[in-house]
Amino acid sequence: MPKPPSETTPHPHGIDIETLKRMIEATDSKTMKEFMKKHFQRVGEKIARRFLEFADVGIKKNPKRLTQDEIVRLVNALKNYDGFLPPDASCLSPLGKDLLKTGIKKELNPEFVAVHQRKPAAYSGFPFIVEVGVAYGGGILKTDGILLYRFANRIPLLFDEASDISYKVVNELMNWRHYKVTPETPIAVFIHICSLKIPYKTVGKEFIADRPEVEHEILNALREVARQLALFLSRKHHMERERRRLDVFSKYLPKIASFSAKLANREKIPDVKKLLGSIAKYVEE
Amino acid sequence: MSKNESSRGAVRERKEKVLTSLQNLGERIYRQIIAGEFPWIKMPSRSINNILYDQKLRQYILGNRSVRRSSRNIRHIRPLTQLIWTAMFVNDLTRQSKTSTLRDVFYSAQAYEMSFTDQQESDNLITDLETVIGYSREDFNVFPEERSAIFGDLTIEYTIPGYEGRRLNLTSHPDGMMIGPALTGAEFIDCKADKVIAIEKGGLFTRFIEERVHIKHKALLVHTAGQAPRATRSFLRRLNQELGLPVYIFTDGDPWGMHIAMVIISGSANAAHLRDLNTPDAKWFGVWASDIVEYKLPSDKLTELDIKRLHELRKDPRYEGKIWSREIETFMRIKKKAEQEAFSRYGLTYIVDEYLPAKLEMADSY
Repeated sequence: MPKPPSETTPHPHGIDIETLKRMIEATDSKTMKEFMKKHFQRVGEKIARRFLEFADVGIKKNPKRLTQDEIVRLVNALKNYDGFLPPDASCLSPLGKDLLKTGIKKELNPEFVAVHQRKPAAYSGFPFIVEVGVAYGGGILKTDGILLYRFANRIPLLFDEASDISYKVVNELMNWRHYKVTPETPIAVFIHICSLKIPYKTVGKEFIADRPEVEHEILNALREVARQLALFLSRKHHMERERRRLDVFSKYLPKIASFSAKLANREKIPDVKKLLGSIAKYVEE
Repeated sequence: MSKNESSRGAVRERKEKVLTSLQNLGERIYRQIIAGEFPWIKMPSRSINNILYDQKLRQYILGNRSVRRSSRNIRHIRPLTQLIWTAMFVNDLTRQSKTSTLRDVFYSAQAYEMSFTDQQESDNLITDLETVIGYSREDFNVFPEERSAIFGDLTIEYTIPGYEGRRLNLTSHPDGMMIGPALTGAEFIDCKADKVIAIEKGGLFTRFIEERVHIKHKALLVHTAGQAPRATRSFLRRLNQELGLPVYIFTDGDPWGMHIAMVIISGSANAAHLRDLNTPDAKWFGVWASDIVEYKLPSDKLTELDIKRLHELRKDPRYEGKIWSREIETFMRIKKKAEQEAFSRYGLTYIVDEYLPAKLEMADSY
């Protein structure tokens, strides 16, 4: 079992105006600097100071006395400031590469698996981690499209696949051809999103909404595993081609040898091992 | 007949050359393997742009471009193996004096796990082998099915097993003797005829025999059954070269008949890789387009296809001769064609008694 997650404050990136107002309402901090440090994760002395400067809000300002104008400025700055550290993921409980890989192998027994875990990212102040896996061959049967398995905080999502952000990434944004994957290639894609708050689109919690931050993470994760898959596939194709070549040579060269010996009225059939050897050597390379 | 005497053994001699040629091919491949080389062969290319017309030989020949087939090349190794198998197969055939058809070759290959994907592939391989060793498939005992026949006062001696030394006069059977493998491989012993007449159609061939043209005109009659098969073309050439007999060709009066004569005389582009199939001195004496006018023959209109064919022939280098181009133009002008049988309008014997003597005389003068 993975270690249980710990409690945490929100990440500053992408906090919306309502949330910010609620936080200001509840805080007992007397200055903006204290406010930033206390209520957001991974914000310390230095980052709080720089950020407030960027937002053009005084560091000594009492949060309760912020004007409407300053609040709007803060929200915009929270969205655009790129000096924040990546979110703290200690509050999250991703599967981890090993577990994901083991799970895929157990279920599908594929010929090849690649998994990848993205660094923590955040949307609207909620940190999230995307984990993906791609599997090829073995128990994966050829289907019309790519087999997609979705998980949110380790729970499989079963319904309304076509509305999910993952579906869009897998079927529209990814250029599979670039990774030597054709419509006939039997592959399965696993996408796990773990977050403090999964961005479901509906209350049914059946599919995940089109969040640019999430989309970006899934796409990049998928590209990473697809690169490994492409490498595997091209190696496999190459081996197959070479094996077929060798088969052809081993079929015909001995025939040429025996036919020509007979035609030349010679008793001894010349040895073609050396010639075959020179081709086999090429196969190993 | 000293000339005939000198021709004896010609068949056997040629067989020997073919066998040597096949064995040399085997030897070459064998040595390449011993030397640690991937076996390969080189042969003239038979692609359209390497087929040229040779004015001096008066036939199509292959140009200088050649193709190399190497077993190092994955795409070549299969056809090369098939080629060597084919050579081995026909070598056995020829040694045992057995014959085979193209279809046989196709099936025999399967016994060696060498199956050809289709008949076309095995036919191509035979043509490749012809190109490599420079002899035609009849020389290595692969014959197509044929219906071509000969009749006349020629005595031959068989060389095929079971018949060696047996002689036959080709007037023995009034339907004519089929020009098949046995006759193709026979030596010429004695000939009383002084010319050869090749006839396109069976009906007229029979009429000529009935009307005793072989006696009246001292002629050997050959039925080409349409476009003359290669065995027949090379047989005509042998009659011409070995016995010194002039060859006359009588076909329908249309572009197709004209071309049957031309292929006997100048060979076909398909056989550009082969020699000794054509008879350059043979003469086409009818039915000419001008005969249709002169003899007022019953005729049909030329079809669109006929006209198209005439346009093709016009561009063909083999048709540059005076008579040929004149007749093409006449066909174009009168837009009519006539069959050999059209002479029956003037009675069944007219063609033999009147037309033939007149035209033979005319043919000698051009």
